[in-house]
Amino acid sequence: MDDLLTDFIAETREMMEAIEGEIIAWEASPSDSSRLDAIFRFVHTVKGNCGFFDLPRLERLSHAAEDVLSEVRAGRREPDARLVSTILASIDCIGEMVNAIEAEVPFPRGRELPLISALERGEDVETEAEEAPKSSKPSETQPAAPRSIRLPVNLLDRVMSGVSDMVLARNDLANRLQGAGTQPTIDGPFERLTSILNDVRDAITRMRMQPVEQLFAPIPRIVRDLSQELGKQVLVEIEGSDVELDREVIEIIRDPLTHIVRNAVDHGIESPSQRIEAGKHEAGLLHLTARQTGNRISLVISDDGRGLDDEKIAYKALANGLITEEQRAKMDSHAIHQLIFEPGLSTASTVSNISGRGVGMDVVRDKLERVGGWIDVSSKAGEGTAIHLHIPLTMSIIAGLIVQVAGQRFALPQSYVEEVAYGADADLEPTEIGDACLVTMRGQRVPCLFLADILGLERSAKIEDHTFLLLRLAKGDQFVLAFDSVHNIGDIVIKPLAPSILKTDLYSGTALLDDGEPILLLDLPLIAINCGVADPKRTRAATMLEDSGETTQDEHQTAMHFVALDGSQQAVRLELVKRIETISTREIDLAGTSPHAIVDGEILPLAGCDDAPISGAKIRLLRLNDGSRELVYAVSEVLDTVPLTEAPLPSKDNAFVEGHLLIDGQAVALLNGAALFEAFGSDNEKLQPTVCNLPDSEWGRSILAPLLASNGYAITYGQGQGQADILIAIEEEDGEQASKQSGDAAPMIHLHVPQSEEDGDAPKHDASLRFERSALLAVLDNVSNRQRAAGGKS
Amino acid sequence: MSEPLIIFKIAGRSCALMASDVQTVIELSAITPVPRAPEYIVGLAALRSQTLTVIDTRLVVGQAPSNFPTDHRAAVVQVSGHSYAFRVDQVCDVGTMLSDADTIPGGFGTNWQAFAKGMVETEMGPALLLNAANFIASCDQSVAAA
Repeated sequence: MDDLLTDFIAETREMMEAIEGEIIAWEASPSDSSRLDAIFRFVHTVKGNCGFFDLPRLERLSHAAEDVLSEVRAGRREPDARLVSTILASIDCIGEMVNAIEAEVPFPRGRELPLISALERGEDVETEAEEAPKSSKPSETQPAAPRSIRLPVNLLDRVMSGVSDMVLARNDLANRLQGAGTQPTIDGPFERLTSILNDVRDAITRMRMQPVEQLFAPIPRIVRDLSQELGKQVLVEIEGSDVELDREVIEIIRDPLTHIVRNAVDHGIESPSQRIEAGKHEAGLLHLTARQTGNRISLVISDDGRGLDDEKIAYKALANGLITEEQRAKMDSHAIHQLIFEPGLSTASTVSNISGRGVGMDVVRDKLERVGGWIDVSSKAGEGTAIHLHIPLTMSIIAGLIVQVAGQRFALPQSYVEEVAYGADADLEPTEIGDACLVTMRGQRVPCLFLADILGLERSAKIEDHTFLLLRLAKGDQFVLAFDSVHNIGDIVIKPLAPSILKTDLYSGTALLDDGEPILLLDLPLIAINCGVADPKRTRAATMLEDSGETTQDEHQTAMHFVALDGSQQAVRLELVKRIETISTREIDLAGTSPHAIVDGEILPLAGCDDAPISGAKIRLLRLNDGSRELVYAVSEVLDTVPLTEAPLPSKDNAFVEGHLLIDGQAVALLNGAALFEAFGSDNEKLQPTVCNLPDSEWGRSILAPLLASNGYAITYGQGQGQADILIAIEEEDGEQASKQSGDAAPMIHLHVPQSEEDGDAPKHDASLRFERSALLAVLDNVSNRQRAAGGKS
Repeated sequence: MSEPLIIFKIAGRSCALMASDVQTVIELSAITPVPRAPEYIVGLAALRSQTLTVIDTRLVVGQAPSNFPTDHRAAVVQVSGHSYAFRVDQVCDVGTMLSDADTIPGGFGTNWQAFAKGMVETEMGPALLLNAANFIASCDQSVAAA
């Protein structure tokens, strides 16, 4: 039960952070009901959970807030600024209560009462709204964040290096143990030590990293409060929150960032009337972006306000003796703008209590420079200002592939890797054209670079001895990298390189392997550009696209054209093909009704080998994935990728064939992915535990799911209903939707989240109950047994 | 004055670094070479979870390392956030600075001038006190010039 309460607290906090932005967005456009829904869901979920945990005060508050919101939702009440403020204050109050619950201290008696009455008596909101901000104050200084403590960084570093030393000592011990032969009494505990050590090391490494989200999350609220105070309208846009930064750096730039944002709202963005006069939209736009580019992270804070005033800055700088008239004459407007980072320059004519707090941009610059970063500003009068913070990347974690060439190991980011192939593979057809080399992969001739040549190391004599990696850079530039062998795959911690090594333009970082050996991370985009296999401009543009989270999609669908085991030509839609695998035929099991193959230690259903004999030592498989299910399809040869420009001619004789395509004058059967997955993909589900389908809500995910999972049920959410054995719906939240589905074979259980009046609902479904742990489990058990018995009979 | 120094030999010459500038002295064992890096970069070595860039100081001052056998010890210094290990002939001892750093008439020679703080007297005789940051900077410059 304690675990559940902890989950509840964590979940509530998470949701609070998530909806903070929603509230502000909702206030900006009260008619946007999708925003309102999220907020409503939050208070609703909190209320529901309170009944479960016996937290009456929290329940009353959330209930009151829910009532108000549902009235707004039903259109019976207009959301005005005061109402929003009251709701915000209530949500803050919920946060404080949750903190109190966690700290196991009593929440001040009656703190929530004024809010509840403000919520309940709608017309009285005005007087209470003044009360409300007061109660929201404490939470501003202590934002709702997961429990955390502050640690000196050098202590953390000491722990980190201690763990690294431990790993080295363990490896040394492992070598000695190996020399001494098998000793069961020692080997067991040693194995345990190893796995514990790995866990600890992983945790320690992640201790330092944090997504930038933490930095950005409070911004919308700050902007909202500030713009309300100033009578301005500001929209906030945030991009790239998932970039991870060293915690130390996050702490250091937290205040500067807030300062810059405040400045932008206070001085940058004009009042609505000024904006309309200037021909802009009355609401200003504040844009925050985080991007990782090479060895650093860039944060850009831009607004579309009035821009910096050259004359004013220059005048101030002259008056303060920062520059001389002579210097002024030589400065262009960009140079003048940089003056805002000089100490003793504040352009605001009156020092407001918002940004003129004595913390100037000079402090911001100093802080950044202390971590090795820098700051600059670009601005255009009347169009806006953008402030760029450049922060060096002290450390990052990536999924890396470790490869070996000429006896030395190198790492490369796994995200670029499309496919691995071995030199002995006949399909590769390595061809040397002059000094260049081309190989055929996925039916395309791709330029091939030899890592040994790039690094000036000795190349293995025979092409067959190489391993080939098909790499795809951000904007589709493809090339193949050849080296001796793949060593292993795993998360690696990347640290920056000394400048003199960076200058080689070959490496972007260094990492320590488990055995303590430092290795170099290859800078693939730069290598590709320098070797001429990627266009520098395209790659750079692509990096930016990739960073901003946009993806470009092909207009045309494509299919993979291959020869099946029985010799016929077939094709399958390319989006289904996850990988091409080559495995030993020994790992294929044709016995029994459903053939399967072992790929990467996973047992996958095998299709495509019905009538044809399997010969040879190796077999080529297409690994297909429809998003939830996987299977492998045996092929004898992969031919090419072909665009699906025309609709396939429908075919009826074979259920597995969607239709026929005309490729090079030949009819090629296009496989029907859905039918394949239906026939093969579902087979291994029988061995699986009973699957419960839960509503895709926070409540379902974090309260119901852990409870059911700990009792041996498998969980699906929302859409996957077709596969579920039992559907669980939550009354009121998505009751209507779910009842429409009740025609399905799977029985449905309806849950009532503890609710006031509507409890008398007749149990017209398979089961319907109030949410109570033991009762739910009992019913589930019952239904799933019935289900199994029925399945056995049929 | 009387500040502790780490005294070592580069290409047979006595040199010193302020002890406060030196993180530690390590025994270099496994070094990962860095293909295509400038010659004076021997490679990368690990010091616990830290990665060190190993620099052969003899090459930086224009001498051939093969003429000077090394005892494989190296002084670890940190310059603008990066850690370097200076491979030297041998690390001799910890001494104290018995005089201020002083220039000598005629200078220390073109290979040395850029990073020499001056000559200091120590218990072990005179030594050339080095500036670690300038030393790294001059490495990079010598490459740029080449």
